Amino acid sequence: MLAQVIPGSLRRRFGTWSLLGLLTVVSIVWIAPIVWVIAMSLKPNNVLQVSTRGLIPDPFTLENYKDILNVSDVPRWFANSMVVSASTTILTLVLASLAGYAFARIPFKGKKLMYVFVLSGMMVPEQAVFIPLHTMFSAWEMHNTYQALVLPRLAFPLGVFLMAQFFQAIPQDIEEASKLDGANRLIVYARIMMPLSIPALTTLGLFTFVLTWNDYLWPLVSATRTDMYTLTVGLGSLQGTFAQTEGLGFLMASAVTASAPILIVFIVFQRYIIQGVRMGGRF
Amino acid sequence: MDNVQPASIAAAPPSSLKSVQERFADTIAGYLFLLPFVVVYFLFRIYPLFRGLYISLHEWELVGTHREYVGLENYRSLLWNNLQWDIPYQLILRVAGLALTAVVLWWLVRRDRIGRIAAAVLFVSAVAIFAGILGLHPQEGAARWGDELFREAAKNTLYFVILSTPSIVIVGLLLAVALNRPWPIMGLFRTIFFSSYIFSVSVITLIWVMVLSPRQGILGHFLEIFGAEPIAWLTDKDLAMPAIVITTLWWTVGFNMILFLAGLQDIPSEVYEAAKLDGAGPLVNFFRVTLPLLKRTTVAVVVLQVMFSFQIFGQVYLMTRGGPAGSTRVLVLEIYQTGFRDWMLGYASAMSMILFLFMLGTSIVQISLTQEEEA
Repeated sequence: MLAQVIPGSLRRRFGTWSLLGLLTVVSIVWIAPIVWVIAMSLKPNNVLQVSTRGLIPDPFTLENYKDILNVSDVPRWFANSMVVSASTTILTLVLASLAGYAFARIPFKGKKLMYVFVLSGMMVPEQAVFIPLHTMFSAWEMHNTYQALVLPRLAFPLGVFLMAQFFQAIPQDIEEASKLDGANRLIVYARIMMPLSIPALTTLGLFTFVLTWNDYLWPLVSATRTDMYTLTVGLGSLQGTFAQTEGLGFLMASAVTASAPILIVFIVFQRYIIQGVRMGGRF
Repeated sequence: MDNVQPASIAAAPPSSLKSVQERFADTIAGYLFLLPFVVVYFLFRIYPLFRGLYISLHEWELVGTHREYVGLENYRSLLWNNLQWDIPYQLILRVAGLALTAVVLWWLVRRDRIGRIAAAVLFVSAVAIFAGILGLHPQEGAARWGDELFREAAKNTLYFVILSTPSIVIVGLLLAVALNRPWPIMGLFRTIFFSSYIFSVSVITLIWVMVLSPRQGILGHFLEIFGAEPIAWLTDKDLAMPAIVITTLWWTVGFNMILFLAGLQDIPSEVYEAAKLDGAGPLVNFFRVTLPLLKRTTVAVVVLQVMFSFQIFGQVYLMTRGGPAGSTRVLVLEIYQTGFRDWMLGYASAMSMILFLFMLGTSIVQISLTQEEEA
């Protein structure tokens, strides 16, 4: 009945507006918890003890952030996370691009077998190997070191897969021309392929960085000394030890601090990160 | 993962043009380029898997030197305690089940609904289930079998998988379909729904423990407006797992949304124009055009979601520590606590081997299903 009375264009416009309205409501609900947490991080602890209501930080204070800087382990954890994530990212890019180049460009015996060998590692989840890894690093007496937090992360077959796929898509003749000049493979890789693959390297690098920053299970079992915690592990430990009401604002400020670098990276490089999700199909 | 194509990688230029020396030099170069990655990869991913198997055959203390070879004892106490397997046990039901599965598979292959390889994999799984697993039953007089805690943990994990997979996949699909329009505002919505995915697990658990808190939580404040009583989600043994599912949905649904959006953008607009000429409405479009064309993406998303869900750990460890009354004690938490609280690394390792086999099975089903599509 209604369909006959209302003209099609009007009905479509109504559909459009109700979709937009619905999406707006849902997305406000979606980010409300984030806004609320930020608001709490900007309120004094004694106010939060009485009430946690409101999305606007009133009364407003920066005391929680000052506490983080002056009297907490958070800056130390922040530095640990930075060192671990940055070195994991750089090393992953080097290892994955070298291997990806070999798979995409160099014809060698046993390549197919090696490729299957490398990709099969994607089926071995971290949860299946974290206990043996722990015993290995115990035997080497390397727990509570940066190396222990970085090395296992480098065995990341998906990075090789992404780089191989990318190099495959680069036209072959660019390389052939340079080979005539007598340039050997390592120079071709470093001087020609690397500059050409900056978009792919950015995507892989960002993903590695975010994943390492957010990694939880392995750092939880390997870094047991408070001063070697990463931010993700440290923030987890605060949740266990803090009673819910005391220092709530401080706890929220820690969460905001822990997320800030990732949030900035995400806002600046959103396109690459979403590209990475599409290419990888799993993380 | 779903577009792994080793064959295209192996396609090399015709080797007859090259001399033996050149080919030898290529091979050396190839392995030199691979060397750094393969060393790290072997040492930290492949070798640990076998070392894990070795550890699982021992009584192995976390600290100290107690390492005693016990053979399959850890697996026996996990799975086999008080358990026996008989051919005649519920024979008629099992044969009927297997026959029914075979008929259904045969019918699906005949109607070209699934390919031969997928059908074969499913049939082998069915044989394993009906002939193998369903022939198991507790010994006479014993009510329980295996390790009670491990079994509970497996059950809780399965419950989480069953609750979370459909909800996270369907919400992801709905968001993708709603956002798949070329309007600039859609980019903003996409950013918002994806943004929660980038937080670390300890941040999202902190957020949601607060949101769900009955006295202090934003959800409680909201419900108060309608005069509803606040709900103690995380201390109620029936509500704790659903609360963890909601947390996980908020955290990860953006990932599925992006995968579905990529799949939707591969559907040519002509298909919809043709459907429009046939007078198809939005609902018909969705079920008759969009869903069938998204089959490949959907299979990939579902399998990835199942694998992620089996690995759940951080949310539970930080939000409930497995409680209340063990209702959220999942497999990885059980592995972690057995290893690092109870110091029984051998036993924990045996559990992680079982988890690994489970996930390997899921991968194999996925690969056989997606390879079919390409063939």
